[in-house]
Order: sequence, then structure tokens, then C-alpha cells
Amino acid sequence: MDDLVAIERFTGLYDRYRDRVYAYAVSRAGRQLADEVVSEVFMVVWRRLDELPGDPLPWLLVTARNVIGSEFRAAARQESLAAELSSWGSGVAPDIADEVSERQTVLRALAALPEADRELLTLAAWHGLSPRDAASVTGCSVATYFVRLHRARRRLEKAMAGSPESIHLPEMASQQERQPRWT
Amino acid sequence: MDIMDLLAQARPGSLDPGPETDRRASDLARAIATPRAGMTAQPDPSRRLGARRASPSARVIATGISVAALAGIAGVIVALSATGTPRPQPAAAHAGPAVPPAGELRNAILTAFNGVGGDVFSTRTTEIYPGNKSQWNGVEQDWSYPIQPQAGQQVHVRSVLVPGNPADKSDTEYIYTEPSGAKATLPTKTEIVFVQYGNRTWSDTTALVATQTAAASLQELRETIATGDFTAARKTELNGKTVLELTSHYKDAGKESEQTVWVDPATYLPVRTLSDGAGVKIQVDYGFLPPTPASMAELKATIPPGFTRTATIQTGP
Repeated sequence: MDDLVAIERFTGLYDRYRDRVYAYAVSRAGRQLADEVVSEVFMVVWRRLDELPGDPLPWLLVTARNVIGSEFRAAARQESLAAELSSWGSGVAPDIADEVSERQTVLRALAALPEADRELLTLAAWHGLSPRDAASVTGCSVATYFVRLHRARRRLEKAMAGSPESIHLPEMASQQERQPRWT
Repeated sequence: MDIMDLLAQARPGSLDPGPETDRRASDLARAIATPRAGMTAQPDPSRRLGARRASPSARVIATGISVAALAGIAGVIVALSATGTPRPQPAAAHAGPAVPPAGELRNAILTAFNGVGGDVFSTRTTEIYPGNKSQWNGVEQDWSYPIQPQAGQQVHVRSVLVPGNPADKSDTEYIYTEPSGAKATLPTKTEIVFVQYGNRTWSDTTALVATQTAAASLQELRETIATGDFTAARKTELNGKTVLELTSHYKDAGKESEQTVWVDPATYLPVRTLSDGAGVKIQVDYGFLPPTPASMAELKATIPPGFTRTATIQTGP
């Protein structure tokens, strides 16, 4: 691919998908590391520009997933993610408005879930991925994805019923738990 | 309401990047300055202090002249001593005898970067790869002015490469006008003075070149310090001068590795960084100098007596 053509294509991909990658990075690693994750992801994009699939979003999120797992030390990831999850659970006092209270309850419950559950739920609810794409990102079949999502939903409902006042962070899921398909 | 709908409505605003996180220009420049798949690159020492830039040969993408012809031409930056520049003291730091905690010192360094935008920025990078005869061993010196150019401003960059093989030494000067907006990441019309010691030639040509700006390199240094997870700070001496030292330990390719940054206690600007891991040592000395005639003179390539001028860049001896 000619350099100028490559630069134009790359710039277009960045402008179109940067915010999506950033959002995923925040939800997986927190704001402290999100910019760095985005930067690293698009380094990979540039290097492997000719290999990108037609719909690159799942590929990009898998790359972000790998970058988060391989480029940052566990302690740094934990610290950044903990700060992020704490910010989700804080804010307006729960008794000010029911709507706010409900939102805080959902976010607190989500923060208390295992990371794998949180990823499944947010891929669908926040990042707008289709079941097929979400399954691709998490490295499982669509059928398995639905089973896991169902279980994650049940755990979220249970956590909301418990309405935890404070967030107890689970251990980070092993990045080798499910190997992504790309990169 | 379905719990997934409830969850969707609870999406935190923090997932959307704000204007303070707009790093489009630096992200694009950093990526484009590296080789794509299939291109040759030297060992990648990325994620080590002072070494997150691509190799000199990979930092330039040109049209009109071949990339091969530019192999050895650097994109940007390197070092002088960080002396003689009065700086406002960062509010978060203390210049007294006590060494601030690592986190506070890190913040002071990041604050100090805010006051250097109009300086001449210099770096001297020494890379030592396993084996004394590694082709990548060598020294690179770069100067760049201004560090953070405005659109329309003339930018001067000079790079001197002294690789392990002295015949590969080169001295390159770039002059271009800082582009604006979307053009910032595209190759820019650049005047290039290229002095090649191997064949004792020099040329003065114009080409479209995408260079990594000093601002991007400074941003990388800033990010490395911001995310370096430094845990220890102490006062020590470097070249006979008192400096503050920050260190962090990490694993690279399964091997214990270390990052260190030394800071001038008067300015809180880095004077040296060193990464030592996976068999590769990379030391970078930094300079932030006001634009005086002496410091600006460093931006000009030196053409030794007896060198022959050529019409185009010569690709080899």
C-alpha cells in the first residue's frame, strides 16, 4: 500500500474508532491508562494495516484487550481500574433522587462483579457490540457468549439486590483465560 | 426495566474522552513514524525510558525520495545540559533538603514540562545492545526548536547519528513549516541538508517528509514519567551535580528490568533517563535551553571541509 494511501486510511480509522477504543480501555483499565492503551492499539493498527478485517471494531478491542494484559504491570492496572470503579460508585448521595440512586446501585453492583462478567455486560450495554462481535472479543462461540452473558446478568441482579455500599474489587481475570483470536 | 437497559442508561460519562485527552496528533505521528508490517526494523526498545521513539530509519516516511535514502536520517531530538534556564518552581515540589516522595516528584516533573514550549530541546541517546559489535550500538544527538511549534511556525530539527560503524555517521538538518489541523500528520514539504560521512558528500534537497515533532517526543517522555510507576526517590550526584533520582522496577521479556530518571532539583526537568532491561541499555541525556544564538547554532548541520555537494541524497558510499 502506498504510504500516502496508508496514512489516509489509518487516519480515517483513528478518527472513526478512537473513541470506541478509549471507552473500552476506560472500562477495562481506567482513565489513567486509557490514553496509553489507545496509543498502543493504533501503533498495532498502523503496523498491521493490511490485515485489518472489514469491520475492524472487534479486532481493535481484542488488540486493546491484549495491550492491557501485556503492556502494563498488574499493580498499575489494578490501581487505575480501582480508581475508575470507585468513581463510578461515587457521586450524588443516593437519597437525593431515585434515578440517581438506581444508577449508582447498578454501577456499584457492576463494579463488584468479576472482571469477566463486567466485560461481557459492558460489551453489550456500553460498547454496542453485537453478540457475534462480543463473542469474538472474548474469544468464545456465540452460544457460549449467551450462556456467560446470562450468568453475568444474574450475578448483576443479585449484586444489585445486595446493593453494596462499598466496592470490593475482585482479582483481575487472567489475560490467558481466553486467548483472543487476533494479534 | 430490563437490567441491560438499566445498565446501558448508567453508562458513565468517563468513557467518553474529554478535550484534555485529545492526543490525536501525537498518536498519529507516533504510529506513522514506525514501520508497517513487512518493513525492516531494529529491535524495538519501546516502553523504556527515552526509547519509545522508533528507530531513526523508521522515523521518517517520505515521498519523492525513498525511505531507504533516508535510512539513518533521524526524526528528532536529543541532549545538552539542562543549565542556565531560570524556571518557575512547580508548586507541588520543594527544593529544600528533603526529597519529595516519588509521586510528588513525578507531578513536579510533569508540571515543569509546561514551561519549556519555546525552548531548544536536545537529547543525546546512547543505545547498547547485546554484543559489543551490534550494528545498533551508537549515539544519536538531536536538537529541535521550538519544542511545541504553532501552526505556521518554522521548525528546525537536527540529528547527528554516530553508529557503531563510523562510516555510517550522518548529520541531517530539517526545516519545515508546522502544518495545521488534519495536515499535521501528513508528510510536509521539508528542506533537508544531509551530510553523509561514509562517502564524504552533502546535499540540500526538498522532499515530503513526515517527522515526529519534538512536541510528540516530549509528550512521550511526559507519558513515560506519568505512567512509569516510580516507587523510590532519592538525592544523588550525576556528573558532579546534585540531582534527584526516581526508579522503578519491572519485568521485560521475563527479565528483571529497571527504569531510572534523574531530575535537576532546581528546574524539575529530566537531565537523564536510563532503561536497563532485557540486555539492552538506553541512556538519554536531555537539555532544555532558551533560544540563544549559541543554542540555535546547534540546529545547523556541519559540513566538513572537502565534502562534495551532490544534487540528491546519496544512498551509500
